[in-house]
This record gives sequence, structure tokens and C-alpha cells, in this order.
Amino acid sequence: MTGPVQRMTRRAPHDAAVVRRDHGLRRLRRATAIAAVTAAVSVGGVTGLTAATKPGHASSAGTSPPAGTDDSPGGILQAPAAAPTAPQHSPSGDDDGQAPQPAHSASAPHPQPAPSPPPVSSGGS
Amino acid sequence: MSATWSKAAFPALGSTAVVVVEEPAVAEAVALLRAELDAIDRACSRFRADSELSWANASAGRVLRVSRLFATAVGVALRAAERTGGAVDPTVESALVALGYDRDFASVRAEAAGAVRGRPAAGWRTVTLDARHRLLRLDPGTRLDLGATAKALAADRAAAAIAAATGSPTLVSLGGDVATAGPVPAGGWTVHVTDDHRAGPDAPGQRIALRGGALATSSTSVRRWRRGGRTVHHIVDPSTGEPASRAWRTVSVTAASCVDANTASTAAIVRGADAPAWLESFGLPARLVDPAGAVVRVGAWPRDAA
Repeated sequence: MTGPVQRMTRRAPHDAAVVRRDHGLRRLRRATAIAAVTAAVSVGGVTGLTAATKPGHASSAGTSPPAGTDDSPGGILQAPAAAPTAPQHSPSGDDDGQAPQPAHSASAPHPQPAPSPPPVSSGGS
Repeated sequence: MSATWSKAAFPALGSTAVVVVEEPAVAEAVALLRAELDAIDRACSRFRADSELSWANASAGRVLRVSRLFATAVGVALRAAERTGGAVDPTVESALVALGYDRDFASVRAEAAGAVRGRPAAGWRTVTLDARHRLLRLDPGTRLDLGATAKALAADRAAAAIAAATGSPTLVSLGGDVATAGPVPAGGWTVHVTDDHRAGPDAPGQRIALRGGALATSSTSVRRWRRGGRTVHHIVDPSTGEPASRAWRTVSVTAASCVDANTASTAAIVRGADAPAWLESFGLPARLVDPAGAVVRVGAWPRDAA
């Protein structure tokens, strides 16, 4: 079974292989304004359907899925490796990223604690 | 060695994007975050006519070869549906449109006279994805909305990319969907959990220290509008197409990834009264706030500071 296919050609200058592929696709598009191919594929148990690609969209961009977004079937929602805790520093906030100053003797140097990162909010959006 | 932190924020995806890294990494972090958001928007926005999602919705009944990113986003949404028993379903687009959320939320009229009725989702099983070959088919009549998971996916991906590129402890927040990557700062990441991510530091809520992983909050108190004299909101029960019941006003969940956290927080709103037990079954620390403001903690969620 065949049908119209629209190929996209998105330039990726940093990737010579992609550029070569895209040049090939452009030649194909010039030769056949509308090309028809059969994709011998299996989609959910349905085989032999035609696959179309969208013009102007990359088909090979992207990176590996992050943790928790793997392709494993089924599975569960994964709990964090470490549970959240109550903040250890002042709840008044330190939006400028500066560490709270500990009380100490002027004559006895103490190592500065690492400053806390500035807080962020999590709420509905 | 003590770090100096830098926090950058800018509008994105109809919300606010925030990145926190050690100071030397901020320029690269912002560039990576913008690139990720641009890619997600081009792939997954239902408000862009040129997005892959719009193309897929207009091509129901056909088999499409899609980009790796879009295939990943659809795969994530389908897994969310599977893992929540359909409480978080990517086929709610028609339901949202029927309720009046038919354009970018900033352009949705706050109030209109016409009555609206829920339209049950087609159901995630009407979506067929061959992830390996990046082939997608929607049954005729099925339309996708990836709003429940795409933003969280972007947060996970961006945080991972920034930490890998810079080596800095990294926090990315997209409209309150928080992902972290890289080393965990001493004392953790301080997050103010509240109803609305735009609220100031004095808004009612709770501060916690996030020690890796991710945190997401879903709330029925934002993205609300009125149609035919009733208030509706953006979290839809796929089985009815109606706004989810108001058993919980706001739910915050921590998980290994922002996708899982957001999936769980959204599902908890939809599930209603049994949400605490359901979250407990996954071992997910969570904070649920009912409409009157009463708080229910689940699992290892910390108590409010005295």
C-alpha cells in the first residue's frame, strides 16, 4: 500500500552525515514532487502501512530519554533516590544566593559554609 | 570551595522558565535551556500550526514518521497514561477545546456566556506508537494534547543536558515543574511549594529541601476560566471530559524524574479522594492540599517547620 510522502530537509551543519542525507532528500524532492513509498513496518500489529514525514521537522534530533522516561513497558512511577527534607537554613530566603552568616568570634576564623542556591517556587501553572 | 549561584528566569511555554547553576555556567545553561524549550515547542505545542503535534492531529488515520523528540514526547505521555490507569491521558485535546481552552491560555476569554459540556477523551489506546521506527498513528477522531507531560519532559532533558555540559549542580523549573541534575548542593535545593508558581515567597505553602530528583505541583487554582456561569479549569478527567473534581486544590509530588512527578501530581488531582493511598503505593513523597487548605502529607514528605 502506498501513499504520498513529504520529506523534510532540515540543515544541521555540524553533522556532515545529516547534511549529506538532506542533500539527497532535496534531490529526491526535486525529482518527484510527491514521492510514494511503502514502509514495511509494524505498527501495533498493523503492517504495511504508509509512513509520511512532515516537511521542515527533524527526524533524528534529540538525546536519550532522561531517567524515568525510559522505553520500558509497564513500570511504575519512580520515587526519588533521597526524600525531601525540611530546609536547614533560615526560611526567610536568600534570593541573592548568599550564604547566611554564622555567628562566630572575630578572632577565630571559621570556614564559610557553602552558600545555598537561591530558592525557587513550585506551584500550579 | 564555596559556590556562587546564578539564577536566570524568562517567559517560556506560556509560563516561566528558571535555571539555577553555579555562576560560571549560567550563560551556557540559559542557551541550552532555550534550545530545549524551542525544540519542545516546535514539536509539542498545540497552539502552533507548524508543530508536529498539530500535524499529527490533522493527520489522524495516517501513519506518520515523526522526529525522535516528538516520538519520545508521545511515548512519555503514553507511559504516563498506562502508569496512571488512564488518569493522565494525552487524548484530552478535544475535551479541553470543548471546555473553551482552544487557544493559548493568555488568549482564552476569562468568561463567556455559552454553556460547555465535557467531552470524554478518545483514550490513549487509540494512539499507536512504534517508538523504534518513530511511527505514529492516531485513530480517526483522536487528537493529542501533551500539556500534562511535555513541559516536565523538557525540564528533565534540559537539566540533564546542562549538568552534562557544565558539570554544575543544576535546577530547571518550568512553570513550577522542577528537575535537578548533577551534584546535589549541600543542604539541597530549596523549593517553596505553593498553589501558584508565580506567587511570591510569602504565599501560603511550605519550603522543602529537594535532595536530587524532581518535584512537580498541579493545582486547580490556576488556569481557570468561566463558561456558562460555571468555573472550569485545565486539569480534565479523561473519562468524562469534565474538569477534575475538587477533592484537592493543589498536589505536590517528588519523584526520580519530573515526568514521573508531574504524572503523579496530575493523576492525584484526577483521582481525588483515593490519591493519598495511590501515591503511597508508589512510595512517592507528596503534599496534598484540600480546597479548605488542609494539608495531607504522604510518605516521607517533611513536616512543616514549626
